[in-house]
Order: sequence, then C-alpha cells, then structure tokens
Amino acid sequence: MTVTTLFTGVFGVYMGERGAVFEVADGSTAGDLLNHLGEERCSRLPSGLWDAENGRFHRSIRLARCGGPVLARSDTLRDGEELLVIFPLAGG
Amino acid sequence: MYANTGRVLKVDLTAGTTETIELEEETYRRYIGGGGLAAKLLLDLGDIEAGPLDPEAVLIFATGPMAMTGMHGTSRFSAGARSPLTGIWGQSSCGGNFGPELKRCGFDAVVLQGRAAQPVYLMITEWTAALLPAWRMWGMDTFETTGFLKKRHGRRYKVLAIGPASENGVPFGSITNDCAHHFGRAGMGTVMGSKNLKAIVASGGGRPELADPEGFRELWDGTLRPRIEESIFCRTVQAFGTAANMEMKMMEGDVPTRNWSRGTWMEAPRTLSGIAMSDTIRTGTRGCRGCAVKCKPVVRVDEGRYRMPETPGPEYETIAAFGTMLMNPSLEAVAVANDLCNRLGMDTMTCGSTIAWAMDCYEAGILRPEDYEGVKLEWGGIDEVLELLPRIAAREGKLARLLAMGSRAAAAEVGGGSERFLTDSKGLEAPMHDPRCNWGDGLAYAVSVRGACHVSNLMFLLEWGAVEYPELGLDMILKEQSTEHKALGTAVTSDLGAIFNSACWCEFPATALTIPQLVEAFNTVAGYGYDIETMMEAGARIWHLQRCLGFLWGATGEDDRLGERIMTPTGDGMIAGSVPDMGTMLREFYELRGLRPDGRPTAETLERFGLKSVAGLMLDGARGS
Repeated sequence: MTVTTLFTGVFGVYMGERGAVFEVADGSTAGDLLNHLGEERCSRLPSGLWDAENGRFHRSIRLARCGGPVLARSDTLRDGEELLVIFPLAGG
Repeated sequence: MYANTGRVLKVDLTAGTTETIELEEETYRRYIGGGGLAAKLLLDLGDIEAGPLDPEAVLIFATGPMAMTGMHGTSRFSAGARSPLTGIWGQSSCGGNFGPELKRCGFDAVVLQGRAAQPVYLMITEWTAALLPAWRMWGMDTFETTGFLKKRHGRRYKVLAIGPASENGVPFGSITNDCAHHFGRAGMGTVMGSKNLKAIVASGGGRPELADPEGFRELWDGTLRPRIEESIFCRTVQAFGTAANMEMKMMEGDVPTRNWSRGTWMEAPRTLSGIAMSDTIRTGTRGCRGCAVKCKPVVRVDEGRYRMPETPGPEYETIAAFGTMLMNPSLEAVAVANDLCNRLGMDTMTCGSTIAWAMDCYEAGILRPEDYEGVKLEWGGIDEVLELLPRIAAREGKLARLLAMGSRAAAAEVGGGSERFLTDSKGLEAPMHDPRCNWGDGLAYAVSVRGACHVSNLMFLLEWGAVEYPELGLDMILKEQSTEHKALGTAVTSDLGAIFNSACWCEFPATALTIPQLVEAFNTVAGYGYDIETMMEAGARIWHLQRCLGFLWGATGEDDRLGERIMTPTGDGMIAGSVPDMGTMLREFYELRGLRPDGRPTAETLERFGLKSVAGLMLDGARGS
C-alpha cells in the first residue's frame, strides 16, 4: 500500500524536501514506517535527530494523521493516507 | 566556599546606605542560588507584609553558582520579588552578561529595599557599591539609559535599566541588560521603578574558586560541552532561533492563535517562523556571555513602513504574542513591537496577551470605540497596536490605562463577561504553548509558582519527548491529550525547573545533560556534595518555598487553574474539542506533592524540606487561609 508523509518546519529543512511517498507492506505500523523512512532517507539528518549507528530517530519523532491524532508506534497504517512527521522541539 | 562569594549586597534606598551580608555555605546547598536564593533572602530579609510597590518590599537579583564557569547557558541570573502584576511570588530570569559581572564584583546577590527620595542608579564595583543621582536618565528609554551609562562609565560596565513603563507603574515593567536581554515577566522592572532606581551598573575583576577545577574541566570538555553542542535542540535553535519550528507546532495546534480561540492558522508560519525570519529580516545571531548556542536573532528591516535599523529581534513568545495572537502575519511589524516594548521596558508576553484580550472584547462589544477615544482594536490591526504601545507605557488615555493594568485586572475593571477571554493563571498571562495540545502544560501552568509559566518546569519538553530522565522515573513516551503520568511529570520537572532557575542555567543547554551529569556539575563547580536525591530535594524545597510565599500573599488552591479561554475548546485543528482534564491532574499532583486537597502544604511536607519557619507563618495564618 501507499502512504504519503509530509515533512514540515525544521524537519523539512533538515530533510531538504517537503514530503515523500512510500510503498509499505499491508499491516505496516507507524513504527515500521519511521524505521523505513530513517533507513532510506535520513543519512542527511543531524546525528542528534537520526542515530544511524542504532538505526533510530530521536525519541520525540512521531507520526500523526494529517488533521488527526498522533499515532503510537504500534498503530497500523491505512492505504492512501497522508501522514505528518512530528518533530516537536521548539523554543519559548 | 566555592563558586559563590558568600556575600550579598544589601541596599537601603531610603537611607542611601549599603551593607554586606555574609551567608553560610549551607544556604547555597539548600537553595542553590538564583531564584531559590532570592526566595530565601526575601523570606529572611524582606517584609512579608509589604505590598509589591511599598518601600518596604524587597527586590532581589541573584546569580547562580555556575556563573563564572563559562559553560553554555550559565550566565543567566534571576530577579525575585512580590509581583505587582500577580501579587504573589514574582520571578524572572534574564540571559546576558550581568550575572557573571555581579559575581566578579564579589557578590552573589543584591537585595534592594526602601525608596530613594529622587531617582538614583546603583554602581557596583569590586566589593563596594554606591548610589548616584539618575535624574538626567529618568524618562529615558532602556536603550538610551544604557548608552548614557556606558558613555559615562565605559563599556566594561554591564547595565541593567528600566524604561518609562516601569517608571510609570505599569505592572508588567521589564528590566533590560545591555539592550539585548530582558527580565520580562512578572513586573520586576516595576518594583525597581517604585524604588526610584533607574539602573544598576557593575564591573568587577574577581573570580571565585571552583571546588574541583580539574574535575570540572574534564567533565566540561569531555562530556558536557560535546553533549550540548551535539544536542538537536541546541542545534535547531542555533540555526533558526526559538521560533524555529513554528510551522510544525502550528500544525499540532500548539501555537495560540487569535487569543487562543483558533486551533490553527497555517498561513502564519510562512511569514512568522524562525525559518522565515532567517530568510528575511534576520541579519545575524547573538548569544549570552560564554554561550555557543547563540539562539537570539538580530534583525533589520530595510524598507516599508516597518523599516528599522539593526536591533535585537523577537523570539518565539513575542512572535506569537504580537503575531498569531493578534492575527498579524507581518514579522516586520512584530519586530517593531518587540523593539518598542524592549525600549519602553514592557513584557511582550503580558502586553501582547492583554491586547489580544482587548481585541476579543471589542469584537464582543464589551469595549466600544466611543468609550475609548474612538480607538478600535481589531484582529490583524497591528498599526493601531504599534501606536498604542508608547501610550500604554505612559498610561496615557483611557484605553492605554486599561491595558496597562494587564489582562486580569483589566477584565475585573470592565466586567461584562470579559473574563471569558482571559488566558492567565494567577494573573500571569500564559506562555505561547497550548495546554489543549499537551494537557500536562495545563497542569504545569496552573501550579507554577509565579502563575502560568512553562520555564518553571520542563513539562512541555517532557511531553514533546524532548527530554527523558530515567533516574527520576521519567522515561515514558507521553500521550499528548491524556492525564496519564502528567502529575508525576509536572511534580518532578517542577523540581528540575527550580534547580535550573536557581542554578541560573538556560534550559536549552541544560536539558541536553543527564541527571548524574547535573549532579557532577554542581559538585565539581560548587562542592555542594549532592547526590541525585539531595539535588532534587533542593529543587522541591525551593518550589515549596516559592509557592508558600504566594499563599502567604493571598493565593489559594482555587487559583491553581487556567483562564477560561484556555479551558474552552477550539473547533478547528488537531486540538479541536480538546480541553485538559484539570481536576484529575490536580488531584494526583496535590497527592504527589504532599499538599492538602485545598492546595496548601501539610505541616509534614514543609518540615520535610526544612521549611519550619514558613510552616509557622502559614499556620498563623491568616493570609491565604
């Protein structure tokens, strides 16, 4: 199935693009997609954001359905949906 | 004694005298420095009965033990007093360069009491101080005052200055350090102005010893510095400033918009975010003394009606307060508002929030142009706001005088249902992160010791997944709109917030460190002999003391709540329909903190933290009971 991910704000700047389309297996979870995203495209991210050695994102990175809830890593994805990569660090 | 001087400068402005008070080492171990030390000094040396602007009220500036180490983010310092805006404990933290300079003069803190008969400024040099006439500066803005004093004494003198707003008793007056850093919140400048104290200048050459210089150097170079400089948080604010991620936060529903009535406004980040700023008006960045993060923008507007020369630029809170809150998409106009507030000496957060409240009141017909000199404030009408700011500082005209009260007092004045547009807790307007997006923020704002505040605790960072503290039981991923773990998170991070604000350590670099690393930093620098338990106990002691001061001054558990507007759901965005479950979180929090159901501390709780004298005052009790 196909899902679209949007990269906004600073995450989009670090990625150098505003989004990407991924083919994932049926039944894939949010955690699966994050792992796939990281392994495939995140070599350009700062080390504090994507830990290439251990193959994982900074713990704050999550996925959310556009206009909807933030997903747990175990939540199953739906075919054709648009997802937002959430990188919530901000100043104050 | 290490890292601290053990000396406090006490100034009696009424008598025009100064004296030095010596403190025991144990006081620092128990209260750390900064905000904790300020609260302790207020309790011991101040007149608890005094109103915020009475001559007997005290205003305290205090540095932290790390101030001379050169570690990133440790040149901050604290101001503490009873706030004229809220009536309770008021505390503010400022970056810049004055804190280390005060320490170089041989003082950890300055306690100001009394009221000078004529405007004066305080000059501090190594181990000495003098009050000098300031009548020529009275009426000058903060930048003019700073320039005047640097010209008179030389650039090596660091300057704290108030502006016209504080002179005129606007209760959210700020204090400016060398034109670029500000004690913004809770009206510390107003207290300074009430004492006829226009400015403080300091220059010294001393340097307190560290407890274990070699151990510290090894810790800093080998562990802390690389960790801070590699931190994704620090790297992000370094690259794009504190408004770096506004687009993401707006999508989440975290950025207050149209006085907290809308859940999203996606056009705003295109022009207002830190990324947009770096592409448009930002000409460079500045940092506090010794800090490599350099998160503060410098801006210049070259053309158009908001044209302005290069000057310190707005940070996230100000961008939201004068941008999204007012439905103003112009970053250039925000920069002008920021510059005006800085020069006039007003807190941008309270000022912008109060104006947003007024826009709601106009829209609802509660405020009418015909009653207020024909002025109408409307969403997006930023030019009227810019014209109004100097009048607010001068308290000139009926509308300006109303807004110069701050939103809570203004709502009490006009009534008519205007309370439903309030966004404060305990009279302090909320910072620009929405508790309907992250419920723990709601609890953290409500129980913050100075009123709605996100830097008195680290709850927002914990909720975002930006920090984790497994040694303190905080390594879980939190669900945004849920009560689960929020009481525990707020309780523990309130102690950490008290530690950071007392160590005077900026949260950006400090949150890059682990708890054992913080303990080791305290011990190698100041020899406090902490383990995790005693360090956290110091944080809890400070939190309880500052909260008790609020209760002594009339706060009650009923005040542990959020303004009505924040408790009203939006109809749009990712936060649509969300309202934090304050009842559940508060009940759990009170229990964890050893508070009674009415929010007051139990005697056992105060005894546990060695606050027996406070327990006595609370039980006498009359005020606040």
